Amino acid sequence: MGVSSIADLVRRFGPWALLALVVWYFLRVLLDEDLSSVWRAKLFRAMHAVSGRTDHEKRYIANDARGRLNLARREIHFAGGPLPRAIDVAWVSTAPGSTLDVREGEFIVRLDPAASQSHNIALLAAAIVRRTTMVGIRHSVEAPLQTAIDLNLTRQLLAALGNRSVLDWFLQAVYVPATTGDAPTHGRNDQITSIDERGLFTRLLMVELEAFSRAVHGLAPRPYMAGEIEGLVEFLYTLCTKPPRQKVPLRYERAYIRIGVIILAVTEKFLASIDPYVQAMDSHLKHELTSIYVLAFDKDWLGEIDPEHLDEWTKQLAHFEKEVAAGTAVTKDFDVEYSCVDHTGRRRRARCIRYAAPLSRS
Amino acid sequence: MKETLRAVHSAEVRAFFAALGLLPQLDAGELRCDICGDPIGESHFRAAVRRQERLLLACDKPGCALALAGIDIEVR
Repeated sequence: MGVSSIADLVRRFGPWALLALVVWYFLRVLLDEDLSSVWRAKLFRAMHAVSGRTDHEKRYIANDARGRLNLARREIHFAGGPLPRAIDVAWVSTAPGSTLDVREGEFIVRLDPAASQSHNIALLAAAIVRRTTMVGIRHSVEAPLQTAIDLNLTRQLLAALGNRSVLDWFLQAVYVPATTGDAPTHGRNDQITSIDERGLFTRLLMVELEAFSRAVHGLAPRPYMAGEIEGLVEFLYTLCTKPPRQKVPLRYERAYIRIGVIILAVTEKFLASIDPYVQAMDSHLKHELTSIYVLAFDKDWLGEIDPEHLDEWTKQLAHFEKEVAAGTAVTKDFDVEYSCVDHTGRRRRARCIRYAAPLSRS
Repeated sequence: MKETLRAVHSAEVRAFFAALGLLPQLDAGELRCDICGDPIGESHFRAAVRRQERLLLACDKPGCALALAGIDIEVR
């Protein structure tokens, strides 16, 4: 809320509005665990600046990292649980004379002093991504692809923090050296980056990998599992790098990952009739796909040229959604708007709707 | 559900190795990074994970700590 909005509020409702606003914000902080952590961190940072005590510094480091990373995680967590889990930081007890038992699988990391908090946050973000994503299927994902997925997910998490010094340190110290070191990793990173630029990395690839992980849980690793994952990446890469109007496969059918895509991009075709798109949905369903993604690219440019057609486009999209809801057995899983980069490098808004098919195994 | 990462403050690395019973090895320069093989001193230690009774250590190169973070995933 800007200063002018607050001034308007006070002018309209008197000074009590300001008090109500403060109470509302205070309650919000109290009820929100992550926001509380951020405020506790500010308090302990001030206390550390005065006292210089290590226990105050440790509480600042832990609360700040926990609060900021978990708030950032919410920004990219739009569809349930495919992305990294929430983080908690607990200090190891190192009292003199104590003994320490490290449990099987437990990860302990050295964190630097408060002045290097950017490094601490970047390191914790990378560790949490590596430890909580693609669990159960990492054995089936080749190392260069794992690296590319982990690093790009960490980059997204850190970008959502809104702190450029953290992101800069990560890009310089971790991302660039890791993705330019060898040709296979460079190639996989190029694919993941291209998929991410069209907005389909977290909204489609990671969603399907999570569904795949659930579907194969408990099964022994088999070569076809690696093939399904690598094939999905190739399928999405082809889709994301295709020139306009070039025909590419819009269906990916394997044993577990079975998805279809419907792209709403050609204005005159979509405005003429929604029938081809509804038929595409029916056709996907006949192939027993588990999920169908509808990708609609924003028509801002259309608004600039022809506002009347923009209105028609919006109405047509709503009509399509109604038709799909009424005429098919799919259920809408999520519907998100986002911005992406198109093939000319221009930033555009887009929309991704995921429909789960009946008897979906995801 | 949260993932808890345990942390040790850089000022308490000696105390950490003492609590693990590894201080003599640290002082003797016998500890090495299980990823790159470089020696690990008090200022070069970055991460540790236990895997099948062995305590694996990583030095402070970012790639080593992150590789170690992924090592135990397959055995969970």
